[in-house]
Amino acid sequence: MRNLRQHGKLLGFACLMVLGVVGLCYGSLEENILALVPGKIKQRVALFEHSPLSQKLIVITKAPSAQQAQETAARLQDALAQAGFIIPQKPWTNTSILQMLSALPGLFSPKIQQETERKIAPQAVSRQIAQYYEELFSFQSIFTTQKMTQDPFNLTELLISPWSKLGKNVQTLNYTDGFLTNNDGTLRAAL
Amino acid sequence: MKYYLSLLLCLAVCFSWAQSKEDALHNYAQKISTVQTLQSNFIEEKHLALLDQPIQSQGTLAFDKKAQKLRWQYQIPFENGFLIEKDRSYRLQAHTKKPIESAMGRMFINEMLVWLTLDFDSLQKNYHITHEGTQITFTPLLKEHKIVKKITVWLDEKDPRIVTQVKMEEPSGDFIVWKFNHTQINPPLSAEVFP
Repeated sequence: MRNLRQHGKLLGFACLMVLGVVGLCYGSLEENILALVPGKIKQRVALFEHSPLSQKLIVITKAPSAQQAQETAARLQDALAQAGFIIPQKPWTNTSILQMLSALPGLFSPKIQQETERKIAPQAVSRQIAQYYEELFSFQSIFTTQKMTQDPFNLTELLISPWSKLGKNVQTLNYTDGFLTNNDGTLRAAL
Repeated sequence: MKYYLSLLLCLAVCFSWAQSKEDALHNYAQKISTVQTLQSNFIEEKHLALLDQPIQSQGTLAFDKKAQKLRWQYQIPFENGFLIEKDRSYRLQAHTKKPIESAMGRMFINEMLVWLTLDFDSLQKNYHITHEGTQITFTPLLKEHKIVKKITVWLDEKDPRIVTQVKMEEPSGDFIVWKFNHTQINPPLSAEVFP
């Protein structure tokens, strides 16, 4: 009887796993990602496209602790990589997990979308590249190299306003840190 | 007893060695403090992870200690630069002079005045300073400094008032080397030097 109870538990667990895997295979990407976030730490997760033109994904998540935020980020990154939405450039480390994790409220407004499209219009792109090229040959690159590599078209700037609405205790954008974060690390944003 | 005597001797040698190093640094500082004006050419070489090969730019530098003016002018491949006039800083581009808005940019440029005069008293507040001969190394006291990992300054062996080379290493592994040549110490500077 005891064996049966133990095997029953195992069988139940196996069934749940199978259901989970089947669910992941058949659900939408958003559902799949949501399913990967442990229920007890899931406060808010949203996924949206940054812009139809840029094809960048921004993932929003919020967890009670920095550690849980990192764990969630790792799972989300894994899911996005498996779905072919992102290509991890380096082996995953705490830093790259932090870089992946994003936390932003709501969808972009039409105004922000227009602004994004303006920033990535061909003329604007070539103007920006020319400016960066010149900056590389001056002292300014000390401050802009990271921006050039991480967010060359300053798309993150568009997120500052919604980010600040998350409330006090949220730091201003800091490219030397790489990404937006609140002070305790439970909210993070990246493009 | 012999043990204690040896220990004392070692301590005395270490102390005198440290003292002589401190004296040498003080000596450099004293010599550099006599620089009132300066003019030099520079070559800036950047080694960035983002680029396959290092890139190089060239320009000139003029400094007037009393007037607290500094002009850092790039000439090749692009003409631009910056100018400091006391507590104001400007970007020089296409024959125009625009105030520098970014607080970080202003802070960095203003710090250059401290570096140009090698004001060790000010630098010691933020950097651990060591030296081997005329090679002086500055390591930020702040362990997780975001821009600087280490700065090495080479002084001319014959005339330690002249900085011959500066290497700034960033935490990312990127580094910049400035090589100075044709440096003139205390030359007369015409008004045109500082637009």
